[in-house]
Amino acid sequence: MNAIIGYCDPFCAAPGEPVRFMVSCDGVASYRTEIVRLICADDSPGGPGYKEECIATALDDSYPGVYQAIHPGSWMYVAPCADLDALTSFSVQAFIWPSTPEKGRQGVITRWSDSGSTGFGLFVDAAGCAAFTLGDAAGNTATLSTGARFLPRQWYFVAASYDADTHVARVVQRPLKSFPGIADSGEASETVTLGAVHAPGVPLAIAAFGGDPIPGEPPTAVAHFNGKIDRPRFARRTLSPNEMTALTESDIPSYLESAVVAAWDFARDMSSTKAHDLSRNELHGTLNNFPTRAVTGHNWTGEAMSWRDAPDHYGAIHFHDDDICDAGWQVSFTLDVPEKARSGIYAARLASGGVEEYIPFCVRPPRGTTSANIAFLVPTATYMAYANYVSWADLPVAEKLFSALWVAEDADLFINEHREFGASTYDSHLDGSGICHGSRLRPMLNLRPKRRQLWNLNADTHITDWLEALGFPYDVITDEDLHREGLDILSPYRAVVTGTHPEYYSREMLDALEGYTASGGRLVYTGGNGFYWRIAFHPETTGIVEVRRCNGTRNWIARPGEHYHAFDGQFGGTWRELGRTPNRLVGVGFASEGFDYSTHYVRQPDSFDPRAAFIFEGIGKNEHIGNFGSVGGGASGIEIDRADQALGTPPHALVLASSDGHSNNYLVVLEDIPLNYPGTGGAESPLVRADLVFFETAEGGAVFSTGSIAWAASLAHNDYNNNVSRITENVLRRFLDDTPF
Amino acid sequence: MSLGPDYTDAYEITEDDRKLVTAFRRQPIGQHSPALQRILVKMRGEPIKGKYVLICQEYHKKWALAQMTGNPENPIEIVEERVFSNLEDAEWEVFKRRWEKYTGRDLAE
Repeated sequence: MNAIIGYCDPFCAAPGEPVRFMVSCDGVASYRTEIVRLICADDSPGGPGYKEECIATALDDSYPGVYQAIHPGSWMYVAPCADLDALTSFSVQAFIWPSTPEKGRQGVITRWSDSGSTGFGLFVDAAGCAAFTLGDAAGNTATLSTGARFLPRQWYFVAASYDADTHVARVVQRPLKSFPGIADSGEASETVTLGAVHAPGVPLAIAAFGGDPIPGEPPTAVAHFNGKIDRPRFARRTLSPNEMTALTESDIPSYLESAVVAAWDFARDMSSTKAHDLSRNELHGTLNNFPTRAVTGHNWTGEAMSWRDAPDHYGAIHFHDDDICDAGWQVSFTLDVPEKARSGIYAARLASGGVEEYIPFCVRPPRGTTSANIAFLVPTATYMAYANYVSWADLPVAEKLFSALWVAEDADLFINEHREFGASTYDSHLDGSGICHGSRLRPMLNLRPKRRQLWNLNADTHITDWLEALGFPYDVITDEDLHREGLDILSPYRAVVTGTHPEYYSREMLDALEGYTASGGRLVYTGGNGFYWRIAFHPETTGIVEVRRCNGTRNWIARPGEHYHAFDGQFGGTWRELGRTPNRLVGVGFASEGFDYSTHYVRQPDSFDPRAAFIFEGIGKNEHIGNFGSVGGGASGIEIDRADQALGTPPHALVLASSDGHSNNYLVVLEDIPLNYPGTGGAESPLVRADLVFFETAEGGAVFSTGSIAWAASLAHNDYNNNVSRITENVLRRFLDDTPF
Repeated sequence: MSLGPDYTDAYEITEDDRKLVTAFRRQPIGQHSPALQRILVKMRGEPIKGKYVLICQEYHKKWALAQMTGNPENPIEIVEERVFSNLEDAEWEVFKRRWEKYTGRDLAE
């Protein structure tokens, strides 16, 4: 049990800048606080050994332990206001696509208080039918149900209305597509005995109903709806069937303008957390917890694939009861990064009794300066995408993929038991749809040094550890810095070194790296599966990325018509499908993945080219490269990339060495398979390999790529005296030499 | 077109497969013969409910055998205190259990 958990914001700061830490404690009265610089986060027996360095700060020695709750579930709300409070008769309607109609009561359009039993709500009821509940100020209630069960993942028109003069309440449920023998259409009408239906102080909610307000706290909600809601409408009187139909149009008909309280157009302001009200009342909604926008609506035909081409076909939002992006916790303490703190990977170490927690962050050099001629590019977008990965517990194929039993560590068990912290972009929501948002504004429970798989952060510190062991000074820059500042942040550096898994790239990040290599920069890509997914950063809230898994090798498949980002309107998926292959940038691109063992590279004829002589200085002609290492026992493994001129590997690139002997648990990636055929395992297919590649770029620049995540875990073997370390050192020393290539 | 004499039981695990067991015991994780791989594809593809996983109790030293329940309230249960000091022994234990499940026979027989 993690009794102390937390996150920080920003993830990277310069000396003199603040980093806020948001911490929640369970049964911990207070915790000691230290700031450490992480040199090597790997404490496994076969690794270089765990290394951290405590630094002096102005923080207190300890802070009180306070529990902070997390409230997952996306919904829209409009704060209580006079317009809403004045209503007596009313009508609500929407198209809905319930994805878990069987899960229990779910709010669709509500202004309901459970504790007071007051207000109204159009719900999916406990039986999975549309229901309308009303309550008066005295707490008297009435509920009508259509009695017709929704089919999951089908579109319906639903509506509810109440006439305060006649006391007639009505609820309607109509499928947009009927199936013989399935009775999923229904309606109910009843004269109810109630006083005024009124819920002062209660927010109007879509996809939930508001929880009891807590003074000073942001609003929370319960009874979250799973599925899509399209064109929700709210009128100040009952509407005839024809009027309801007219109100399903994308614009409000002029003759109904005076009747409409609100008509939300979810296709507007697509990248924002605002839901636009078309009516003159401007009851714009606030979207909490980042539901998925830019999804197909009830009328999507397939003619338009982008919401920008046909916004009226994208009038839906997909809400999930497990959406969470920003935990919104109170700040527990703020670190002012000491002026003398060197650039690097750091963590706040919080400890109490036997409980210990690390919250990693980065320190960049003072703005506008550099303190080294190497920049180590920390792949924080990848960290965000993998935060709280839990597919091992959800996917029956996981054990086949890993080719071994999954070994669950403390963080895995905690994430699996506490889905309220939100799973990763590799996982699916509880309703089965893929999670397309990754966030660092919540505890990233698997991003921790020590006692973890050698993956992402821990594996990346094999590179920082090696840089320090060999005496290479370096600065640290994160993906978010690169995204915001582009080429300017890279240009001062003689060489840029990537992490082991720089998989997620925004257009801005890719532009910057391409610009760097095209202008004399030297890039060392010490990883695999790099530059693979296109992502977008949220334009309003930093720390949240979006990925649409519409092609490539992927854990889930984006739905038809939902391949374009909401955050920036661009086509998502892999950069390869967008014509900007990793091969163009680094000479290699994703070839295969496997998790049983890693293997070595064999020198290829290009390695004897005089252009590559500096790389192989001190390396024997027949030496196997990297037949050792703490990730699978070899330097080529986990996720591997190969050269391919047809995919953009530059024609002058030297393929120096190729890996040999991967098992059949390594399979050719999906994007290399035009049609399925037997024999795509590593023991059978020549496409399953990692290539070591070097090539020169414009203005005297150069690129060196290892094409393997496992490479870095071989660097420290035999006290850093080995051919993986030697090759990497040879490359880096030459890359730091100003002499143009 | 004939599907071939062994089509229907292509993925059935039978006593004939006993000859493959030694190879698994020797190297449970890694490249396997096609015949052994066939068995592992079946064994490792079991549904989540009842699926075996390991819980790391001491980093790189001690692993407990556990099973997933499919119940979100209590997703993983430790199996009768079966604890291992290396992953190969854990793989072997699960292999034996699955062998018995599919063949009805104890591998020790």
